[in-house]
Amino acid sequence: MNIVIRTRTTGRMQDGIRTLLTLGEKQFAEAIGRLRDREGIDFWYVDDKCKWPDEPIQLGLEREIKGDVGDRTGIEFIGRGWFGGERFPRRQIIEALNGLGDINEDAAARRKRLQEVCGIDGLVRFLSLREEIDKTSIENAMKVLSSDEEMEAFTKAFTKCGDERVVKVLADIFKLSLGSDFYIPQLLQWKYRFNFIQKQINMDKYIMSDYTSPGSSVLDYHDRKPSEEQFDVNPMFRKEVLAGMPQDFSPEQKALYVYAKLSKLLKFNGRFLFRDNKSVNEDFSGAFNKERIERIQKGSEILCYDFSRLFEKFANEIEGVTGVVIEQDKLHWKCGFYTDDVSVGLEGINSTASGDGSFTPDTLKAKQGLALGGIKIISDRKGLVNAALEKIYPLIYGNRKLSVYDLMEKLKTIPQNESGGQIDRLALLKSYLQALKQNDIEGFDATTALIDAKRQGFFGDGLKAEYIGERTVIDGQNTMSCNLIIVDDKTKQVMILEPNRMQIKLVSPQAVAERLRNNELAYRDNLRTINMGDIKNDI
Amino acid sequence: MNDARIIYLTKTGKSTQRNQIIKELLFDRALFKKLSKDDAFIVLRDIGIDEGHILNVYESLT
Repeated sequence: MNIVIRTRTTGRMQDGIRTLLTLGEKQFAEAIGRLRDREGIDFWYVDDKCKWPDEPIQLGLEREIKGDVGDRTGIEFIGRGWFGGERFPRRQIIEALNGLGDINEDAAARRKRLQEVCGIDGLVRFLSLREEIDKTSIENAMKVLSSDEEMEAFTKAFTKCGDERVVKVLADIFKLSLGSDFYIPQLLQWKYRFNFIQKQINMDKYIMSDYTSPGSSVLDYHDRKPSEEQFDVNPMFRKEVLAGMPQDFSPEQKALYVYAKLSKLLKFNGRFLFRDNKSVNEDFSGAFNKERIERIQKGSEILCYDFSRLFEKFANEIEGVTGVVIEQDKLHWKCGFYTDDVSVGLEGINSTASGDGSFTPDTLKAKQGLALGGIKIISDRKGLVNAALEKIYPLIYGNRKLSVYDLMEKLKTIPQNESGGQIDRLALLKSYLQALKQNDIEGFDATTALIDAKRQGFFGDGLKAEYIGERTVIDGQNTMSCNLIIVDDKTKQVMILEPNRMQIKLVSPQAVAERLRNNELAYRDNLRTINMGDIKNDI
Repeated sequence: MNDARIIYLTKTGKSTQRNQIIKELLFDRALFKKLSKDDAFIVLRDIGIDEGHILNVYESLT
C-alpha cells in the first residue's frame, strides 16, 4: 500500500511513520486491514517520480480499486503511479516505531496496533487463517521456538511419538519471509532453534512442494496408510523382490533395495509408444486395475503407474518409512518415500532426463549393472542414500574379484585381435541380442539398449532404425507390439527386431510394405508414405 | 556391449581374452572415472565403440 507524504522533513521513514500515525481513523483501520493481509508499505513524497503527474494527489493512504482503470490496463490502484522510492521491510518500520520517543496517547495506541499486526500476534493470526492449521498446534509451535529447553524437549519426544502438526507449523513459519513481513524481535534465536530441529527431524517431509515437478497437476500423498487401491502383490513376485535383502538393513536401505529390485525385475511396456494408433484399445490411462497389478511378476511389462503403486505397497510395509508419495503428472507417475532422515523421489520409468543426463530408464539400467538414475535426493543431511546404494549395488549386481588397477594391467599384457575384415552386421546384431538375453534384458528394454549401442557406434555407421508396431491381441485387447525396423545402408538389408521374441530377422522390403498396407504393421506416424528402405525418423 | 562383443568374437573364431577381463572391469560402475583417459579409450575400443564416437561415449561416462 502507498502512504503519500506531503513534505520532506526528517527522512522518508520518519516522515512516513508520522503520516501513518496521523491518518484519519477510517484510513488507519483500512491500513491495519491491509497489513493483516501481509501487504507491504511504500512511503512516497508528493514530488517523487510518477507515471501520471496529472492525477490528483491523494495524501495519506492512497486509494486503490480492483481492476483496470481507463487506459491503465492491469493496474489495481488509482493515483499518480509513484516509482523510484526506497522500500522498507515491515520489520524495519516496526523497529523505527519502537524507537520513537515521547508520543501522544493516540499515536501510542496506533503504534501498539501496528506492532501487533506486524509482530508475533500478526504471524499467529495469519497462520490461524489457514484451514489446515489448528490453534493448539500453532501455540505449541510458538512454545517450541520460545526457549532452548522447549526446543530440546520437543525434538527428543518427537522421535518417539512426535506431533507432526507442530512440525508442519514450524515448516510453514519458516517458509514465510519472516525477516521482512513480520517483526520478530527474537528472530535469530528462532532461526537457531528451527535449524537445530531440522538437523534432528527430516522436515522436508512436511514441505511437500519439493516433490512437485513443474506442471504436475495431481499430488496423491499416502502418509503411512494404505492407498485407496487395495491389492495383493503376487506372492512369488513379492518373494523375488525381497530375496537377498538383509534383515538388518535400515529403512532407507530397504526402500532403495526394493526400488532397485523392482527396476531389475520389471520391464517397460513398449506398446505404450503405439497408444495413439486407432486400432489400439489397450488401456494406458493409468486407471487402477486390480487384476492387472496382481498378475505382475518377474519380467512383466509395466508402466510408471503400476511401478509407483507397487513401490508404494512395498514401502508402506517397511518399518521406519514414515511416508510414501505418489506424484501424477497427467500420464506420468513418480513415487518417493520419507524416513526420519531422508526424503527421496523415485522414477523407475523415467520420462525425463535422469540424474546422469541419459534417458535410459532404471528398468534397463538395473539390468545392465549401471548406477540408477531415477533416484532424486530431496533431503539427506547424513549422506544415507548414497551409502545405502553402495551397499545395495553389489547385492544386486554382484562383485568383481580384482581391483580395477590389477585388471587394467592384465588387459595390457594381452595382444589385441588383428583388425581387418568386414563386420558381419547381422551377426553382430544377433550377438548383441543374445548378450541382452543373457542379462535378462528383453522386450522394450532390449530395444532401448540396442538403440543406445547404435548411437554409440557399436554397430558402425550407416545403420538406421525406427519403431514399427505390429498388431496383436493381449488379454483380449487390441494393441501394438513395439518392434524395431533396421535398415543397413551399406548392404541394403532390412531387418526387424522383435523384442518380445528376442529375435532379429531379415525381411524383404516388399513383404513389409504389404503388411503396412494391410495395417498389420504401422509406424507411429500413421500418415507416413510407405517407402521401405527409407527410414525417416532414425532413432 | 562387451558381452555381445564376446559372443561375436566367439562366433567369428577370434580371441575373447581381452573382453573377458573387461567384463570383470565393468563390474565397477565408476570404472571410467577411475581410469586414465588413455586406459578408458583402450577399454572402449575393445568393447567395440566406433572410433568416431569414443570421445563422446567417454565424456558421457565420466
